[in-house]
Amino acid sequence: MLFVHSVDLPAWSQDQPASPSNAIENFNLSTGGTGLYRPDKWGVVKVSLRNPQQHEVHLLATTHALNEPTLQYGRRLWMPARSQLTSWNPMRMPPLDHPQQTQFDLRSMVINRSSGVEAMSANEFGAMQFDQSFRVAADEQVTALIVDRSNDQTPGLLSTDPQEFVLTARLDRGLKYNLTILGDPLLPASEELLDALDHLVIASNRIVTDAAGISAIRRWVASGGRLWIMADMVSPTLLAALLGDDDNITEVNRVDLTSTHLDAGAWSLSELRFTRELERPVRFVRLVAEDHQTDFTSDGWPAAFWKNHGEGRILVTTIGGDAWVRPRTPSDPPAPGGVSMQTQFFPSESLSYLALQFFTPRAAPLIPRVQAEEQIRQLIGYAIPDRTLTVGILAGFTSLIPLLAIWLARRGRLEWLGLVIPVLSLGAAGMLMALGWNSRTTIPATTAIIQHVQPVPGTEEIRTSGLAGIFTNESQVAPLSGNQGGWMSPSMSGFESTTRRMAWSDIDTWSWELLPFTPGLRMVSFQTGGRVDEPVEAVAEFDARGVSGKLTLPAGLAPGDAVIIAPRGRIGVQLHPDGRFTAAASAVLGPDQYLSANVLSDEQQRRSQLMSQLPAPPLENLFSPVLMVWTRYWDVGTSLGRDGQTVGSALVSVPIRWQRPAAGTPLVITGPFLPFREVEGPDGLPPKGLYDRRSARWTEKTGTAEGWVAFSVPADLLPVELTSATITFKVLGPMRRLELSGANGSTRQSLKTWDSPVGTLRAEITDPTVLKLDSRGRFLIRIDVGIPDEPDPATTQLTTGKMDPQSYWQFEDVSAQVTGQIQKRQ
Amino acid sequence: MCEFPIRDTALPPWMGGLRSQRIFVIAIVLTAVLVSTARAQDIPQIFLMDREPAERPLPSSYFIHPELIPMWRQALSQPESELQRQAAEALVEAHALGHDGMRAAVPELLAVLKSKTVHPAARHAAAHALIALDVRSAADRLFEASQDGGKDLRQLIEPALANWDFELIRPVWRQRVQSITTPRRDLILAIRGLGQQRDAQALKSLLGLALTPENSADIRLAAARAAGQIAPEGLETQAETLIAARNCVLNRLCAVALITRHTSERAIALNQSLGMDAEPGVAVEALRSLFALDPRLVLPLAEMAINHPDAGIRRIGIETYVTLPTPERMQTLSARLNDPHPQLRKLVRDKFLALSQEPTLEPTIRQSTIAVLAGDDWRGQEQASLLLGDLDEESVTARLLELLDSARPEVMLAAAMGLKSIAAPDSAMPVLAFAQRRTEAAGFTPLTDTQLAHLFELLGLLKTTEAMPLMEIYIPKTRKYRGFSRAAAIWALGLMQEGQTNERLASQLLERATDTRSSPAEDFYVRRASVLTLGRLRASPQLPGLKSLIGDQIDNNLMDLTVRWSILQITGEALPMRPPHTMRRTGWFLEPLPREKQELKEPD
Repeated sequence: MLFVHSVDLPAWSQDQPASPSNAIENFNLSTGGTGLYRPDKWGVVKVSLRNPQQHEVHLLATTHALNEPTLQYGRRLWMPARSQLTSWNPMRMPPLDHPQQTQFDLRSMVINRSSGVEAMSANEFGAMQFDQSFRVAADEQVTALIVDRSNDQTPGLLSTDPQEFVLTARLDRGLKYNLTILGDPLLPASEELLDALDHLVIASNRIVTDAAGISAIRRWVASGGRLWIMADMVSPTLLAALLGDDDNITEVNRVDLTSTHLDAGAWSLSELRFTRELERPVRFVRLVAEDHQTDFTSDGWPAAFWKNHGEGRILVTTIGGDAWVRPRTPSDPPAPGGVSMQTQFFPSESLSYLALQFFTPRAAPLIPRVQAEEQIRQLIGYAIPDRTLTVGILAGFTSLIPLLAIWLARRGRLEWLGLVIPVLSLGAAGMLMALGWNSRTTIPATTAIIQHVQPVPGTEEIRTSGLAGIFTNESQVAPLSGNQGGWMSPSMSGFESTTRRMAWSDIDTWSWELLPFTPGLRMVSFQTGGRVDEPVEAVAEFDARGVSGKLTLPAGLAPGDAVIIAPRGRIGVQLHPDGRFTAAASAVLGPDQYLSANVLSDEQQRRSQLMSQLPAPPLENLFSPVLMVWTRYWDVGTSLGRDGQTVGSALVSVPIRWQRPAAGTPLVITGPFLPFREVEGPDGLPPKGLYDRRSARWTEKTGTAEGWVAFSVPADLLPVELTSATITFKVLGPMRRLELSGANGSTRQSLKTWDSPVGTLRAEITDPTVLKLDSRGRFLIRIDVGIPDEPDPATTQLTTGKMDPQSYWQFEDVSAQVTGQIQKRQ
Repeated sequence: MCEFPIRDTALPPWMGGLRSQRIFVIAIVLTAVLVSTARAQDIPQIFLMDREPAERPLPSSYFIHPELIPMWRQALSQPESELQRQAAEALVEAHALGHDGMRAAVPELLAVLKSKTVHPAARHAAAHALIALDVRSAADRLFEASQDGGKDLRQLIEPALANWDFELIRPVWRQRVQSITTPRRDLILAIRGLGQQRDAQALKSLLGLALTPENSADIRLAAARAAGQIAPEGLETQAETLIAARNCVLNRLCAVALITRHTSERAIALNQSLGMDAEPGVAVEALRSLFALDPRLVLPLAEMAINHPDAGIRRIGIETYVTLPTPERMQTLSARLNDPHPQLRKLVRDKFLALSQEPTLEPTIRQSTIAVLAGDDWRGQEQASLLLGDLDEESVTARLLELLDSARPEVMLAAAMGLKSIAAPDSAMPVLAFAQRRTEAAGFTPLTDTQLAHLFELLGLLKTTEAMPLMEIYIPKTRKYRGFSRAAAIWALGLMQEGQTNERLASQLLERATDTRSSPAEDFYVRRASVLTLGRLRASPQLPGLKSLIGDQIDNNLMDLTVRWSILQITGEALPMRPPHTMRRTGWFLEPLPREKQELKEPD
């Protein structure tokens, strides 16, 4: 790669003749933003150039990949007389030509539009095209850091600097490459900057006044990104700016520690502990935080906790890197990548635990393209056949045959039926074809949109993504544009040899140029930002009937078909005209049910089908139910079609903000809100693999098996006193015996036994001693299957070589529903 | 003329492509270097040779192109929000770098702020610039913009208005704290603003927020702090009630916050009780309040505080004792020379040095420090070595000589520095023997290099001519001996031979001084020390060689100034100096092209 600094013209050149009026100087294309580029992902490129003219100029700087020469991305620039300017624009990198490709070869041009006529600009050497190559990022997750631009840390603190610390954690996960620094002093005001990232770590305050950059980060997190904030290195102001009204974190004070102790927090799935005596103190920030899940504490204060933010997750650590690592010794095992891929520090198990959760790939877009396309086709195609007319033609044809048969029979010409029927069939078919042809040519221009709308919690911002289908009867230049950021990517089939361009003229403002649309249907994928007057939110609380709450949406969207996606299932939601909603405990949807209506209309069927293809919620979002509601499409400042009708729907995912009911309120918590996992029991019985949390499935077994299962009550409700629990088992295969027990202190108390259980079984527990919640807000049950001392068919197979296929058993599902009462908080 | 990029700390883009592959290597190398030398650098290493010559280079000055601000103003007037945003932020940065004239852009900034059609990012940047430029006359416009410009803008503007004591916003804030539907961020802004402006009218509402258990912790704590800022008295009952109602950390934090300005006996007693709280986060706040009122209020708790596990609490205890010093307290405090926190033990050392001027305290300080030096704790040995060196305590010379062999790098170096400060004549021969041993031993680490540099300086001060043969070993460039020790040896030779002719030595030193083209080139410290010593030797035959190091004028850098000094010693001639560099800051997002070379000079 060649990077040429701007240089002053040598003195001798001052006497040269004036440059041509379309001349530019020192054009340079360089990496911007993360500096890492991935195929089919957006990134940011930086352009800088000089205007040597004595007058201002209006330019268009475009860049394209050499293997996609007709697809350009550009930036309109204004430059005053005799100036040099640095600007940037998003660009989507092309797919790789082959897997071994290591560079994106790019070419840029500058078009001068000052005189109203477009003319290519040349530099002082006559060159009109400028080539540059950007490295293809390794095929691995990408992490970016925001750190201080200078190394003026307080002397004596932090022998592990943030880069080294994050690197240690990444290498521990076997991630060897793709760690980059966001070095621009002002972040490009564009979410596309972050499209290639899976994770972002903020260890500096320098973006605290960069509102546009912070807004881009917020949207990126809300759409599924992972953000790590090192609170010991940022101010509370930055936390507040990032989290908006979702920020319920307050700083108490800061202290330097020379002795650190990390303990497992209430929500940690580990019992890890890590202590260090430090010669160089480490900064610790005492924070008070709510609505979070604490993985580790230090002296009772949160040391690492998670917050859900839309569909993303935020990790906040409050203690400096030295508390999480220690110097590597020769006896330590190497990092997964080998001795050449490790730092001088060895991560604690606590850090490994955090890294395991943090360094995961970013989730794919929610709306599956195939299903969205199908839905769009149906939306547009639905207008084509008039069902009544079609049915009428077919009914007429069907009823005419017997009538004609009777008439011909009376005339003794029944044999003519063999001729009449084909003629009638041809006629009916011809009429239907003519109807279809007629409908097709008279369909108005239509744009059909399927959107996924994600509100950014705590703000008035939203993010939309999805697919649009533009049906047009005549050729036109595609009028695709937007002013809320984002992008649109129309399918380009048939236009490979036509120059088309996506050009930005300002922050969040772009348009497609030179892009022709031929008659027919063309798909356009898109992603945009937007702002609404009032934050979109769903506030809910549990009560004696289930869940009730209030949904705030912009007016005129006709919300309907709402569902709560909870950790362990879906619940149908009733929307009321005043914005309230209710989800009854009895409205739990079956595994193949996605909407609560009994009889589904065509539109509901389409919606249901699309929702059936949505990815399952990630495990980490166990405690963050989402209200998903269908509305009409949202107008977010994009232009998709010149004229014609626009139809479509939007699926809005609104993370539910829970309010804790007043003390004394009775409530019922139904199964989907009670996630569970297999745990070590109070009697010391370790997990035996009865339930696989990763795949969320019960394991297929033979013979006997036992295990303790802990159901977690939502943290926002604690403390709660349970009054009853109903456990439901759905059994597959021969179990011989099923016993349900509870935990009474450290002992097991048998509650119910079934012999030869079959189908669906229920047990109600009302004994308060076994319903007591542990310190993590869980109640435990023990499941024992089979008859002890009976030969295990698996063992028999080992000796006889034969396995009875009928001896496997499995739980299809186990769920709980509890009732209880809210207790006063201490 | 130089052009100085303003963003010289960012890696150039061409390296970005290889960054992720190299970063682990860089990390390993850096860590290795840091681990080996970091501790040595916790205490700044002060060399006497660095103080010569007395004349220091003047700092370079920077200017910006005279057309830069007009160009940014043009950009602000363009309809493109991105240009406006960049221009506004550039104004902030230029102002922060100390350049004047940014206020000329205020009209354009106000226009952007007022506009409803520009992108919110541009309005935010304009507001940021107005605040950074402290344009208080724009407070009204900023207030208007904050109320219709969204949460991000309020987050930026309202704290500034609070700082400026802007009164028109108070009714808005009061309304917010009274309404139960106020969004969280707006509520926190209002609470903090009212507290900062000490708005007594809001006290009741703030207390309501602070004392309602159902409110979230952040709201309660912010409200309690604000109420405490407002009320200098009268909240003792509420504080006591909070603690009595539910003994949780949050309640105690709120209680401390409420009475932070209170001076009543009751409040003081409450704070003193909270100063002993089991939760350090609470105790430190209570102690801070007491200390701010009157350090004497902390005295009953000071001894506990000084020995507390929490560094923040220990600091308050230390500050109390040094503010109200007595010999007994100094005795107690001497144990903190061993404090695990480096800043605290340095604090004690610095204060001891200052307080040793008091005749009533000096003996105790000395004796207690001597006792620490004799102890086993390396931290105490380190601090005591430096302190006793500054106090010129000759009686500890033997102990310092022992500590030269310490296993701890900090102590090794501190002992050497201490010996140098004391410069006792009878330490010369033991130091020489030690230096001889170190020179002959295998392995010459950066720590050895630094330690020997201090010891050679000591021998130079004592004019220990017996050390000359040893020091001459360090003159040639070798793989074994490093820059500091070599430079110090050469410098010390100069002190010992001052005014004497030594042609052999002078030739050697001129070679070192002019060795700039070999690979590797001579160490800068060694070159400079060689030049200094040539001056001391009055080495006239080496004059042409010295003059070859400079141009026709002396540049404003350390080497040229050293050569100038040396020539002055030899010939008595003070060579003329070039004025300090002035450099134009470049690298802005938008900047003018220079028209002619004359433009690159600083404007008159």
